[in-house]
Amino acid sequence: MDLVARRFRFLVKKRRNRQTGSPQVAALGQTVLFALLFVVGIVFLVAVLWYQFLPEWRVIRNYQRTTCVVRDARLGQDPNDVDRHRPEIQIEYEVDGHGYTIWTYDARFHSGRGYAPGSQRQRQILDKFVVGQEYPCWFDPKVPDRAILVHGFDWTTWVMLLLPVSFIVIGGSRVGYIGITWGKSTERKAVLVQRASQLELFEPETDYQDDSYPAVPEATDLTNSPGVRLKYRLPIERSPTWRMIISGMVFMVVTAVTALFLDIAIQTHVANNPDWLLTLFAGSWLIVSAAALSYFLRQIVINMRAGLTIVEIQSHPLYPGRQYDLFLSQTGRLQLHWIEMSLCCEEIATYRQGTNTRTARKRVFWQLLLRRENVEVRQNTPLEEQLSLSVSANAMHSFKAMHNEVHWQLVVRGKAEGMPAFKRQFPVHIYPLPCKKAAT
Amino acid sequence: MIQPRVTLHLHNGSREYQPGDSLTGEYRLDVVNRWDIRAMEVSVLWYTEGKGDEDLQVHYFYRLSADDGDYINPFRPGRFNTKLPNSPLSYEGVIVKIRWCARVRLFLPHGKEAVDEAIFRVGRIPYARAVLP
Repeated sequence: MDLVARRFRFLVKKRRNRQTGSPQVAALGQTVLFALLFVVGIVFLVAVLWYQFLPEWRVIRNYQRTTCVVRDARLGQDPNDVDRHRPEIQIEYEVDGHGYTIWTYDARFHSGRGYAPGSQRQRQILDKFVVGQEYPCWFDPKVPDRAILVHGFDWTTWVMLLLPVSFIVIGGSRVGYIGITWGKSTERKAVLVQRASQLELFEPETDYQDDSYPAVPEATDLTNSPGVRLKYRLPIERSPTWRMIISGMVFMVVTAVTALFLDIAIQTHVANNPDWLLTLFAGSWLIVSAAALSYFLRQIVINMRAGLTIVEIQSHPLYPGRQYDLFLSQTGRLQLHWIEMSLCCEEIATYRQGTNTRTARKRVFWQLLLRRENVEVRQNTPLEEQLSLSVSANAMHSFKAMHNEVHWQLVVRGKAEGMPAFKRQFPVHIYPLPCKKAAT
Repeated sequence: MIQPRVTLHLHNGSREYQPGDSLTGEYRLDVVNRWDIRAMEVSVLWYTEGKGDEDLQVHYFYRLSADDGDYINPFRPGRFNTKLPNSPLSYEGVIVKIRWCARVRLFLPHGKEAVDEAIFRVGRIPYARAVLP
């Protein structure tokens, strides 16, 4: 038996043999919760079907079309809630020689429903019906004094159906997953998930084995663009144009919120009843807005002056211990204080902290490949450099799983006169050397 | 009362392998009678440790279950053999670590389990250290 020599920590993540909770109790709790969600979904679905969907469906299926004349129109008020209204139209129509004059609107009308908050939308509906004019209407052949002016499903019916269906899908699928994985080991659950992701559900559950490069990202997404000087042009990780557009959108949203708070705050001052707390709050938003504007302007300057950065490579994916030709091109119109290109490796870990998902990054490798100082880049004469990259024989290969990653990239950084420093990243994948036994 | 146990032993004493190497091992079950064993699983897998949530992938998996009519003989050592894949290699990073292990899990009556595992290295990637920007 192992003795625990360290202090037991309550408020940190405990995994594997440090876990203190019972997985069975946790699974039971989850089952109860999601089963409840499933049952609520079923009850809700039955209610929506019974009270909303079926009446409309009966109308569509059974009611017959005829023509009516509108005699009057009014705004009906819910007897139980004065703020809820519905349109009420008086129509006159004939069925088999018998004349009928009734108040109606849609399928919910005759069961005393169809009220909605406010009155503006209902008034707009009333305005569509002109007294004395003819309109199509649909009557019930079994009860001819029941007719309606709106035929077909209301959009709210579909929205109402969507909610219980989502409850049923989420609750049912989770209960099903717990049922399938109940009493199974971590390894067996992992195998089930792997098989499901590879659509090999009907393979026998013995001798499971895989021969590819598991957990190494596919290289094809980086080799679909041909280069001009070398074989491949590497895609940029985050386009500076997108960064500019997103920062512009953030600036607009922040400015709109700031304007709203400022307007309310100024009104309190104008009315000689100043709300200083609101004024302070609006002031803090003004600072955020200024910061957003500064970042947005910075992105505009970088985008307009720095131009395109192009990186091409002789071969991809990369392998440890091998050497590769690289080509760097920097366009634009700028006087560069310095520009450099490096090979960088980062570890990226994603973890849950409470209800938040956080990402941590740690750089574990940095190799300067090129540095030039005091370079002038003109419109028709971009900076062009040919260089070589040696991948260390001990380099860790690229690795990507759901929560953890080893990420390699070529990083181009530069600083030019009259503009902030810029940085552009170009991901590359390093593969482990193929094993000798597999190669032969 | 003697608790049922399982012991796992890898044939390569150094526990260092290269991608494509053959991993062979042996397990012994220490139980009073064979009816105590409901099922047994042998797996070779990698998992991550470090700051991120755990990722786990199984490379080799073998299961014998009494409920499925499999015969589990506790009195003879069992062997397993698998060819290791090209990746991922074992890695001792700063916030991401990748560990390989072989694991034997014994399922006993009343939901009890007995587990033994042997950690081994695949490849020879040196320890990583944080680098300042």
